[in-house]
Amino acid sequence: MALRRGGSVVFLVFLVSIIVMLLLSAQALYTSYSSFKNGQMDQASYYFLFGSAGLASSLYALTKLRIRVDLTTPKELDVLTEIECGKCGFKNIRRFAKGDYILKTAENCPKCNEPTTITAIYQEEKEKKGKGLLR
Amino acid sequence: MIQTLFEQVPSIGGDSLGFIFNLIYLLLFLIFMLYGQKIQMLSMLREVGGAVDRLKVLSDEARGVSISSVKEMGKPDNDPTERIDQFLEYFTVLPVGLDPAGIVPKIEHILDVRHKRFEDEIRKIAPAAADSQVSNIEGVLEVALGLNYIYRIIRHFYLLGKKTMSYIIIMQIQMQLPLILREAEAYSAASKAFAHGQPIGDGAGALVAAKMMHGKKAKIIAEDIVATELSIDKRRVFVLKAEGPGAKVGKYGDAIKKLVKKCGNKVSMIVMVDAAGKFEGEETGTTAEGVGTAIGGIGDIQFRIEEVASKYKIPLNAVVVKESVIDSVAPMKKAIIKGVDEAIQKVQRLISEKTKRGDVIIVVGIGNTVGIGQ
Repeated sequence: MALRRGGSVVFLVFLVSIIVMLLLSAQALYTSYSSFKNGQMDQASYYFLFGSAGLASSLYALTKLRIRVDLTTPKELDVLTEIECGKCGFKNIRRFAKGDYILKTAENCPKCNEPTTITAIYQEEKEKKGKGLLR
Repeated sequence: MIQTLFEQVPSIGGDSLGFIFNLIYLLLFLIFMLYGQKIQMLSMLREVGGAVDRLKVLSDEARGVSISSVKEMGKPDNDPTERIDQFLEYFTVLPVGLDPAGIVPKIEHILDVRHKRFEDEIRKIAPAAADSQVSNIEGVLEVALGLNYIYRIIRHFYLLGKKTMSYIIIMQIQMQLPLILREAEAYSAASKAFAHGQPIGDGAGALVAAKMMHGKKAKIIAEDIVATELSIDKRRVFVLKAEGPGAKVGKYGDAIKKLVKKCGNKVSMIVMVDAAGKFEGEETGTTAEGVGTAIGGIGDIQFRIEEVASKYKIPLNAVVVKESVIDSVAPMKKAIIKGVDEAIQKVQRLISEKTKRGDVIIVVGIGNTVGIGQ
């Protein structure tokens, strides 16, 4: 299947143009600063306008190019099995084992030796990271 | 140092090099102005291309899970890879809807044929699999088929967009990518849940019924449907669910029809319990009550239940456990299990408040019953 993203030449030209534009924008901003120092206000504002617009657009284009594709296989979720003893109320949570299902009669209770029942099977919740200011 | 560097470059003022810089700068500005849209399209195409690569990874992984599940549970004599690859291209043509009158039996027929075909294929490629394992393999293959389909659709639009450089094709697919990828990741989690026989969020309704049935004898009353009779506040309550713990959904319509006929038209209420899509901002596992047939799917089962309910004038009540589409196919969350306990209380309250002693009530726990017994 010819899926590999073609147009790599176009992409390269695009990348080079962005870099050239970035450098020229920096140069324009520097010229603007020099002109300002020399008291040439018209020239300074002209180069400042071009320089800042060029810098903003080229930086935006560069960030748009940064596409990271996650090609790793998804990590398996940790699933837990909750077991309860109907007689003494003993509760235990362990990793899910193949063959477990809700309401299945499971291993004997370690306290009263009566058969226990699987009451719940659910995915382990990962602790959430602290909320940032912008979330 | 930076100042020295810039000073080495001839100033953009009088000399010729400065003029060239100025010209290039203006030219680039013009290019961005004139070809901005094309550049944006290329950028979007790159994004879609990345998503296609990710979908390929997910699709391949689901295929791998299918092959290993068939080998593990079915103990086939030959390598099932080729048959599974054929299976992943399987398609269903639904009946034409130009003249919609009488379309439901046609849809039911096509879905029955599809289900039978799937089951036969699985029994052939996995001869040693038990009944519940056949259902689980079916679930795994359905997920792999779905992921493969999503991958092929997105790849189709990606290649078509690249070929035609059509802004509308590329933009449409790029804008939907976040939702498509979220769903694909959830399907990928579902594939492993089916392979291991773990309950998924969609089984919330089935879990409500299972918990109500627990300890009582369950009887098969229709295809893949089990029922238990119990007494709540001196009312006769029939609780229905798909037969677990395999990944089954069952034919609720037929089961309800049989029960209503068996009870001699004395059913005073039907309570449907299902998982329902939540809106963003709502908590997973919260419950809500309403009226009507709470059931998903194409609509064939909903049609049958509504047909019986309207024929015998039976009130249809519904209790739902809210969850996102992603939660519904991923292994069940603890919040959903808490919601299930809340839903049971709501069903019991409904029975006490809306019916009187001696009434017959049908409680239907809708959903895929993978990993849920009875």
